[in-house]
Amino acid sequence: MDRNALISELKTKISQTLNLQDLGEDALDENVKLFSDDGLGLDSVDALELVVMLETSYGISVGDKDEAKNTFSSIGTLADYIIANKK
Amino acid sequence: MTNGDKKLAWTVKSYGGYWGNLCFALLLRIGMYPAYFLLIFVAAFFVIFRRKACAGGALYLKKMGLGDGFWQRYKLVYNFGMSILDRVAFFSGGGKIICHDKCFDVIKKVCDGNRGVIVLTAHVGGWQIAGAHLLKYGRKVSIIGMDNEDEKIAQIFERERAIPNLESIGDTGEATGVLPAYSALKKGEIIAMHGDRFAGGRAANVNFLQTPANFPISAYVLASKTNAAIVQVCCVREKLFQYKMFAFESTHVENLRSLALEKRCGECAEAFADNLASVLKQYPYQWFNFYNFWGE
Repeated sequence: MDRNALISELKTKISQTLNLQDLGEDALDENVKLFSDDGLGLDSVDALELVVMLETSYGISVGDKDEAKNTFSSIGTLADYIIANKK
Repeated sequence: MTNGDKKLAWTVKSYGGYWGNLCFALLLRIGMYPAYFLLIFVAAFFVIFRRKACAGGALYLKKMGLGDGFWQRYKLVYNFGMSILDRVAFFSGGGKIICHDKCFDVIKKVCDGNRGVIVLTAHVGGWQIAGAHLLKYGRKVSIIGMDNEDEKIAQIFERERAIPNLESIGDTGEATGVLPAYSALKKGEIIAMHGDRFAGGRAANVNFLQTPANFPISAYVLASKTNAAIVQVCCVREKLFQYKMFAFESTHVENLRSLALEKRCGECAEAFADNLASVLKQYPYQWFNFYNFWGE
């Protein structure tokens, strides 16, 4: 799976899933922190939507709290996780 | 739904203090009555010298129409102290504290399928004692929440403990803290969490005691995403050493998104708030949220 293509796909899916279409392209840079106040500032509702998106689109589950924190740190880390775990 | 101001949210540290709780733990070795007697003075100390710490409770008492005079605040603080003593006594396994479980039929009914169950509690009476009664349904039970006690206080409780506590698998103060609960519910497990302590993030702003307040919505979103049933449970002290836990009829939250999910969360939070208000009408001195709940 090509990483750049996956990141582009994730940006589209995340934008649609979380209704972030009004944000500029820079806001969804692959290194922007998703859940940090100085990043996108997403909350627990968004986290649940992302987990469901991950399961339905890529067939991957994330249950461990610490693993989730690292996986969902940014779009880049999410893409790396998908590449490492997609069957 | 609102993105609640974090300044109005509860700020993590539990009320009680290391020395107060150590005192309690020691006195329980002598007996409950001496512990309750010492509590008379400990409660008075807090009401007189820690007015700021009691301000949230005073606001609640005013909302209840009870007034926020010394005796009302004292009664609330004393009851809170009793709940801590009773909790230590219960979990130390002495058998002194009895809890009558009136929830069985409601919870058993929702446990009959393969769905996960969210047991939604409030900071009323002996909610931790109620948690111990959830182990009888043959499913793993975990808690998520932000009742992060001081590490030394937690050590005191662990030293006294004979009845196991529920495992904490996450907290609602972190965005990804709810994800272990998501996994657990999808496996059909039981998750216990609070519905009356807003810690930032999105909230439903609903009327509670005739004034708008923010209520957390994580439980309802979890239910929507996992098809889990929600059961609101309360555990109140009916008389000395005796508690009663009871449940309201279970709720189902459909698999929704965006505005539809927001609306449904608001309905659920409103129902939760109304149920809680009805309990507090009967037991007004047993709600222990000592912070500025309404953000006034």
